Amino acid sequence: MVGEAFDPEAIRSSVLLLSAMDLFDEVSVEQEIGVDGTLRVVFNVAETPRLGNLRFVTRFRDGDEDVPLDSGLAKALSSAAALRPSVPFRDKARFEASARMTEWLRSNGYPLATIEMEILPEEAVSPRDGFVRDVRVRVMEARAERLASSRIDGWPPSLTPPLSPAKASEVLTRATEEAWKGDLLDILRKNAYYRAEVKTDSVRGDLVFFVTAGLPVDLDLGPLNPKDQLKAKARFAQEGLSQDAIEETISTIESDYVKRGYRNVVVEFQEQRIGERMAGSFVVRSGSEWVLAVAEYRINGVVSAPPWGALAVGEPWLDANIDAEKERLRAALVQQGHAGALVSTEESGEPGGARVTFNLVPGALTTVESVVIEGAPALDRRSRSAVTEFLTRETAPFRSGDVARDRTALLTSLRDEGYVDVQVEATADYSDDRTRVAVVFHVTPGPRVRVGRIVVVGLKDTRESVILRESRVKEGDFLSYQRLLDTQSALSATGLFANVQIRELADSGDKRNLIIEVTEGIRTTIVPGLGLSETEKVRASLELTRLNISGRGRSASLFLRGSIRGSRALVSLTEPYAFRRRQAVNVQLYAEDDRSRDAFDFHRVGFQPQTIFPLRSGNILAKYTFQKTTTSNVAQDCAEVNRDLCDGKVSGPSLGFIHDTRNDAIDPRRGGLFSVETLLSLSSLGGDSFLKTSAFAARYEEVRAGFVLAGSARLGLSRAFGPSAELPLPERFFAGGSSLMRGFKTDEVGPGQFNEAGVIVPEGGNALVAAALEARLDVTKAWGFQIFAEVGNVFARVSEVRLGNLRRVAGVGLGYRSPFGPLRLDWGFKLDRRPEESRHELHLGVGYAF
Amino acid sequence: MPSSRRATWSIRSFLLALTFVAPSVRAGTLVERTVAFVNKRPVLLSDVELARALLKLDPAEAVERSIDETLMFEEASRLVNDTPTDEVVASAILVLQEKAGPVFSAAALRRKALSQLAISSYITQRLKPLVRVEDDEVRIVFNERVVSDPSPPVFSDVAAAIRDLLEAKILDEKIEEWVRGLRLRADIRRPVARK
Repeated sequence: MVGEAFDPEAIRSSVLLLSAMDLFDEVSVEQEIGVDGTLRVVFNVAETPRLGNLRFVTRFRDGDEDVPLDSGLAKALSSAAALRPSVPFRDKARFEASARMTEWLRSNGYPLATIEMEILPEEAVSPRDGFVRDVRVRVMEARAERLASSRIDGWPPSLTPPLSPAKASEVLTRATEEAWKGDLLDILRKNAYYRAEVKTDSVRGDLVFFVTAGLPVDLDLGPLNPKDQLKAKARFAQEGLSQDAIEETISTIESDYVKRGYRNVVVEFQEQRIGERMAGSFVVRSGSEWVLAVAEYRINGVVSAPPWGALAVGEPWLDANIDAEKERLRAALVQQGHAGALVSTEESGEPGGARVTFNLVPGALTTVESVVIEGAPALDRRSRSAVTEFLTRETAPFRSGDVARDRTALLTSLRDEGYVDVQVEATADYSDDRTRVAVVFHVTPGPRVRVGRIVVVGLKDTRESVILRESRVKEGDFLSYQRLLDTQSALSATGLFANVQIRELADSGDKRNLIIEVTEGIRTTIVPGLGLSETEKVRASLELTRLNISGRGRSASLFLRGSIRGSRALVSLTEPYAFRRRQAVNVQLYAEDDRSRDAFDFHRVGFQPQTIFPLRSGNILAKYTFQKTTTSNVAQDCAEVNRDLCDGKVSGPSLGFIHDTRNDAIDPRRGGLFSVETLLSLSSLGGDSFLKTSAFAARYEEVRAGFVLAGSARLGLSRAFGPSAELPLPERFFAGGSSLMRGFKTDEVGPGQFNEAGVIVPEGGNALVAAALEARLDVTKAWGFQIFAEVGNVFARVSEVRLGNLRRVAGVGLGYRSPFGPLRLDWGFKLDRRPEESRHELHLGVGYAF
Repeated sequence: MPSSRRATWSIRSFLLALTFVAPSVRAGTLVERTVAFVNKRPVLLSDVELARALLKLDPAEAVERSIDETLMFEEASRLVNDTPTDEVVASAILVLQEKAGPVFSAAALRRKALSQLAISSYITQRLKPLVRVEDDEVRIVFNERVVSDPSPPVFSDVAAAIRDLLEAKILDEKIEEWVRGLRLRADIRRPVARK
């Protein structure tokens, strides 16, 4: 820094940091002393040329002028070169690209082509920003070799000679030749010539297939079961009698015999010539069939009942099962605290009725006498979150696995506190009788490293502040690899970058500089759509999304859909860093005009900003909603068609809280969900005046595998202010249908009015009380059923709520776990059916009812 | 903002008060320079000067030696996890100071010491166990010496020394082979003169 003493270490550190950016071929530093005696430090850098365009040319003969290469070939070679524009372009990149393009040419029918790459001087291109250079790629002998003629030599006389698979004028690429060879081999192998080989040679387009057929082989696959025989035949037809195919067949036969208790089976493949053919067979020497008749357990030499379950007897003897049982017993003893436990086996008896004896020697039960940590930095120098809970505890059984896990946990905790070179050794000091052990963790912390400078590389449109605000480490913080990973995740999660890498550089002993290297992703996407709808006929849509607006991580999307019978527009804006902190705010504006229904036309406009405040125990959702829905050309009451489309105005703030501990949102088996939301709409803000609160709670318990008990409760209370005591229809509470009160039709519970046709039209109400209990049982992995009971009702006013007036429903259902989520068919019965009500209802639903 | 100006701006914000100029030769004393890049790690002029002072090499040899040491240190620090104690490091620094003279800073000597200790640790753990000298080979060397010696020593008196020499020779060969392998796989580039 200006004004500070000249420090060669600081100069060195700066040179290292500049070099690590990978943008310069050379960095040098000079010092100059001015006439007034001041010292000036000058950094000179030679920027690495960055790749501009690849210019593909060719020449017909040496000495000729360059002409542009065929555009198709140029495009293919450009793709093969796999070079990204604007990246530093050095000799290594040039050689590798040249090798890739040459390999592509050889494989695609250009056997004589060669590549020359040359960086063009700056004068040859128009001036551009930065040190960008075009590269000329000259392809010599760029003529594809094409097939002129072909023949087959050595075809077996017993087979009808085929026509050559080669097609005239086809480019002789490696893949094409291999495919032709494959065709000939297929014919030969299908006719039992399993040892046939085909080689090709071409000179200036004249292709010859050299066939060495060998003798046909008759294979005997008798030792295999019918299913494995088919598989083996297919493999030999594809690969011939390759060593791999033979060994796989032998392995299949051996495996089958071992499963039946033939422990010592040996299988060999033998070939024998018989006249003008070969006979190939798999010879099996099975040995004796072993059956496990008795499994005995001895603990310290005394016969005992099997301590943790026994091995099944009467089954074929499988060495793998014996070994697995041995290991299981040893692990169980170690888990109990017998660190030096030994388990051995003895075999006896005849193969047909064999006996295995498991000899368990548990050894001393070792308990932990003391746990000491030596050398760790004082706790007051570290944060509270660094406290690690050990599995190894005094007076508990000693388990070396616990010590290893504790060592790792201590190492990780210290590393996350900046002790990046920490070493931890665990020692166990046994007492003479091995019944007690003193465990010591020896810590060598090393220096505590801080983050030095943070430099960001690779930005084009994004502001550096976007990177630094997402970073979980700041300059001067203690270096934590976990926080570096969190930073990488946070930057990737912004959706702005195709690639994020973080590198560290050692600076002085206790500082590491960080280089955050990003590759910006695509900013704009456009998705057009065209479709058919039953009511709207043809409709078109367009979605336009723009990310990283003004380089600050903001995003905007516009969705438009239109047809002759309606239109829809939705604009969504997201600011990830509102109020100068990491607080995402999303604003949506929408308008819809739908004239596709015969019953009525509906129009809606809306505006909704919202944001989420995460808390430890859940999330608070704050939003403002303005929505105005109007209907026109009404031929039928909207309540009879779709109550959500009925007239209504909402304008006001709402606040909600969600606490979700479910293990899975779609198929919950454990945990719970609690949510509550309150909405206030005021006429002074342009809406209907009302206050509405709704709360929902659910709990899930998997009492045993495949059996879940679920319970839920709902409460809704609302009150209208103004001329009407009722809320607008779309805002009222309803019950009945596939999610709530399944013995009723959709919305059927609660108040209603008869229409002109004598059909009751639900009106909903200002209050809702409901509860449900459900038992979900899995029958198979995909199928299950549920039994449920529900109580609930909708009341016109809050003052009319009476628990004695709750309706009652019970039912059963069938569930299917599809790849898209749970589907269910529920059959609900009214337990307090009233006259003129149906007894039951059937509902099809996606996902569980709650 | 065009991309190159943004890159420049980013560099400026990092360098703060340091002067950033276009690539050109200026009158002034050269303080530091990148003389080579080894797997993208720079080898600096100050490292080369220290290597020259320690080993009494000419400039070109010192550059190659520094490249080798960078490769060896990179491999050693990747595969060997030992952290030398402070006493060992201090002792190594003293040795280097005596050889190199007072010109070099404590930080530079410390870096050199840590690098050499890491490489030494790698050689001890990975290469020394591969060194094996058979008794026959010791005997052959002894016989060759005895042929031209008018008063030859007793075999048992010199066997250990001969064995040490042979082991050192084999170890040197293994180190050279190691470095050759590292160089073959490495990306080494030297700044080129600009047109």
